[in-house]
Amino acid sequence: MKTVSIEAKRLEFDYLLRLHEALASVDPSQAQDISENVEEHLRNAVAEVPGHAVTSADMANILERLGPPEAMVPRSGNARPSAGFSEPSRPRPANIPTRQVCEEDLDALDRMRTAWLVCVISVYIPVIQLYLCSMIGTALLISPVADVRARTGLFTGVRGLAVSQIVLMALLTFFSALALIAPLLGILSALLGISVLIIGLMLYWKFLGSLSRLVAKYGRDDVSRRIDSIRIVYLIIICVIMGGAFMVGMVMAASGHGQSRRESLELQLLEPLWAIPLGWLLGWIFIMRPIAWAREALIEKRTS
Amino acid sequence: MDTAAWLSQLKRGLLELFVLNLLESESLHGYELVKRVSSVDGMSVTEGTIYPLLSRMKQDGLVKTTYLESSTGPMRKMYQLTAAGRQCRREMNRIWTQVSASVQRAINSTSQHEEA
Repeated sequence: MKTVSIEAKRLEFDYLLRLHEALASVDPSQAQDISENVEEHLRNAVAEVPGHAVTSADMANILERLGPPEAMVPRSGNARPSAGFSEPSRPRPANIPTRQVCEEDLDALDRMRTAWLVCVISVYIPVIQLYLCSMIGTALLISPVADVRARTGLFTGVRGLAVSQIVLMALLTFFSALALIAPLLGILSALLGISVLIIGLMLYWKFLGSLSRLVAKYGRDDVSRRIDSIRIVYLIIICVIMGGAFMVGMVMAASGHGQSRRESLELQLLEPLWAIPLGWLLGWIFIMRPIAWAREALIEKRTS
Repeated sequence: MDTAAWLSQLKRGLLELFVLNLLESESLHGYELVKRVSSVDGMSVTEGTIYPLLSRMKQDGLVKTTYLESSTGPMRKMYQLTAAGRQCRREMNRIWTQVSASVQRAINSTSQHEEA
């Protein structure tokens, strides 16, 4: 890590300030693009300075090679009219993506919605305990997430979690089947089951967090806050349900309930009656609705 | 005639062609592009000139950006050619080859006259 002297930092700060002033009349998306590049350039140039310390002379040299900030203003005629008889254009907050980017984000959101829909529908259905539908749903999430990430830098880590989830679910399916022959493997299955649950929650948490930041990029802080709130509520609800289920299990085990084969079978048969509607309800409220809010926000931005 | 101004204009004009050709074979981040261009004999330009150019090329749909994880800091913005960028590169290369050949012929014939 380089030590940058205060004087060098001041030179850098002054330069970036001049750059932002120079780019004030430029299309916001272009201005942001250039600012990002210059900031990245400065980071790289500072890293290449020999030695551990960056002096003001080093910084002045870097900035001189970079050229005056005023020269960074594109000459393509995208600058807004500075004065005169034309109507003043409505100021747009910086960072708002262009219409084309908005279209691409909407398309990705549609594909993410389909992926989550598959996951939500298949959740808790004992008939497909093989997790096949969940695996398909999670796999469907990878491509749109990668697209948005490549474009915006958001959704970092979501793809990795989705891949881990698929691998874990495949392993769980495999070891669950083996556990029928070798009951000791049931312990491994249980551990894998817990991992699937934890990774699933992390995936959900990361996904909704990224969704919230995506919406914020479009200037819809209200929707972003709503999504952030709902993911916290979901986490609390899941923790309460899991904690409750664990407590019930412990109580039943202590009292000897559910131990007989018949009772165990009855419990398994009763599970879909409450688990499926509950799973769908939670999925609809905590996953599908936030995605719908994000889509609505983007559609509004596109039409405006 | 101010040859320094002419050279500056020439370099500026050629910069886009240069960047398009550099991006043909691989994706590069802005700083790497700057270094590659600066390392070429006769193409030394003020480093900052490339960034507005990249921004305009992106607006024109000639290049697109993707973000790449970096082990040393924030994610890096990588530039790569789009299909339109490839098409533009081919067309500009063709024109440049024709123009430079014509200019070279003109220079050669003038040289021959001078020698004669």
